Amino acid sequence: MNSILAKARRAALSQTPRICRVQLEGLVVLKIIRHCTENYPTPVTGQLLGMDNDQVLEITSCYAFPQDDDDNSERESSQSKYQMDMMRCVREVNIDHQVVGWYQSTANQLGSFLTGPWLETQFAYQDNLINAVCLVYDPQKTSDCTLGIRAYRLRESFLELFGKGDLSSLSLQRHEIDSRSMIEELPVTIHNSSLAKVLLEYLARQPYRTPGLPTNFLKEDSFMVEEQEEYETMAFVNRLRITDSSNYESALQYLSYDLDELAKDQNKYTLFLRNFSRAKALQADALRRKRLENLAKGEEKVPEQEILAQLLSNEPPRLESKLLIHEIEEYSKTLEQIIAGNIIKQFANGSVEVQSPRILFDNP
Amino acid sequence: MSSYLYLRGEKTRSFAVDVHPVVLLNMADHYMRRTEHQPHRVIGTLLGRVNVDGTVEITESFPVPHSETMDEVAVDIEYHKTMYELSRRVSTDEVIGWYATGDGGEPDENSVLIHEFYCREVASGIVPVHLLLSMAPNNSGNGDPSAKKTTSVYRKSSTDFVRAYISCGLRIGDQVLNTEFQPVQVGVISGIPEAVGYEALLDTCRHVERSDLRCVSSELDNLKSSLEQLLRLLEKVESYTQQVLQGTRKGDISVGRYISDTLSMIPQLDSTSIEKLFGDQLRDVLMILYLDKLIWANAKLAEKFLMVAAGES
Repeated sequence: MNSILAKARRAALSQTPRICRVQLEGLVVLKIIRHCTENYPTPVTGQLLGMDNDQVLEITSCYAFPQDDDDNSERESSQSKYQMDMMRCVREVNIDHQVVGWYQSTANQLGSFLTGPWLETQFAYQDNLINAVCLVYDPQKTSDCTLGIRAYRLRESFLELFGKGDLSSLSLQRHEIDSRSMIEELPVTIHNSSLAKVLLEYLARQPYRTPGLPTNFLKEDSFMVEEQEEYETMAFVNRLRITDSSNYESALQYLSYDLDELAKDQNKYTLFLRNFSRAKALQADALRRKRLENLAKGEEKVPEQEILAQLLSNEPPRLESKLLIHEIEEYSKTLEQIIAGNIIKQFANGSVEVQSPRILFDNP
Repeated sequence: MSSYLYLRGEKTRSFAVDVHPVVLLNMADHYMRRTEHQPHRVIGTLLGRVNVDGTVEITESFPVPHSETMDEVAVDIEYHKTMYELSRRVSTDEVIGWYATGDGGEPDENSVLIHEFYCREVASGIVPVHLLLSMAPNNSGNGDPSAKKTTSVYRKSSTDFVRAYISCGLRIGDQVLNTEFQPVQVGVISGIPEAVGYEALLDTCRHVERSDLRCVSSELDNLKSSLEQLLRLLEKVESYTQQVLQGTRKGDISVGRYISDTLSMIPQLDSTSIEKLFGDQLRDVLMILYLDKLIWANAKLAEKFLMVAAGES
């Protein structure tokens, strides 16, 4: 009975159109940033609300999950009570109350998020809601003055395999899944209501204070205000800061740690391969014998794939190494970006510094 | 012959309110989702904290359903309590006041009633703040960014757009005669990540073609625009100083001081040592890049090899 229900549900799910784009309300961006910044560097999660409209997933609201550190069972019940209360409250004030996914801030500074638990959570979401996405917020990138929000979901073929728990190298290969293609990124567009646009424009005309950045308003009679209607935004100043070497150091440390883990995993795997090739020789004999028997009985041939699968059944888990490789790639990509930016900044800096300050002061 | 009696309010010291942009956007969102029974006014609770220097910082808000007629106001207290408890689980912010959207008018009699309720809700020692976002049509000129306006009109209408009040009782001796809403200064404040997010939002709503998040979150593009902005600002300062030197403009001492402070921050090093530092740094960075590429290639190869080994067998 249950399986029929599950099948019916799956059929219904497969008929809902898959989304190919995420439309994010500006309010949600600020809310996520606010929540994640308050708790930085602890990674936080929260729920996304909205609706899927044909091929566009509209995310219109969100709320934060509490970070409890009680014991497990208690936490789960209080979490679900929190969510239920929140959903009730949200519905009462006409906010969209359909769950469309979750958001998460990354823990370490290089913006990697793909872990075993992440896959499990995202799988749980997508198993129920075919169009669920995860917004990943990168606090480090944002502090460097580039908004780091991305939307991810599990790829369909991987979702299926993950659901079956079948992650041997054989099936991964058959579905052509490698470290890059487990998840896919969805394009995100930002949407603001007209009223929100008015507010944003209004804010651009307000003196805007950000601790840690130079102030964007001087005295009324100074030259800043006279010439323009709006204030300069000052967040760009942080973008021009040169990353110091400790950042590289820790990035390289992360990388070498991952490489160590990968090497360990590879050692295990080569051990398995040695045993595997030994067993394969024995198995080939058995296979030949079986074929002869089958031939005598007039039965069909034993499919070779099946035997291979049987042999591979005690294969060490492959997911771990895939995640590691994905992480290494992600790290190296981020590092590359940081370095590219830094080289530019350095040249810009160099062009200022080679001139003697005297020249700047001397008036022609 | 008439004579005036001047009464003093309880709180007359200067009082400043700082709002995070997210609160204002939340209010706008709530206003968009109002029901048909709420023609203009929606209300909600403001959460935040009082800083050491006495300024009030409003960091969060949530909507509260209410209904009102000419002479009666009903606020869903139960809802307010539940939401507050829920929000306490994710942050430590306290109730700091309440917001309302209005049709451009001043706080009215019903505001006083709601304010009284919030006076009871806030922790002791906190003066509740009332934030009023005016949605009046006569301010709508503000909403058309393409319309060129003189600065003075902007100033006037923009000061009207978001207003904050504290209430103070007018009293003689111990007897409260009346309460009045006293306007206080509102500032916008945010941390660096929020400022970045806000700028990205502003960017996307000004340039429709850049509404794709990937456009605003490309690091190198942003770096380019930052450098351009820096150059523009430098040019502005240069033209200003030129004008002052030529005497066409009156110099401002504080601006001059800023400029000289900034210039004195450039370290005085001779060119050879700068070149050495520059070269060293560049070599280091390129070395890391090389190492990084090497690791990436190796990891990629490792993945492929392990796959092939399993596949061939």
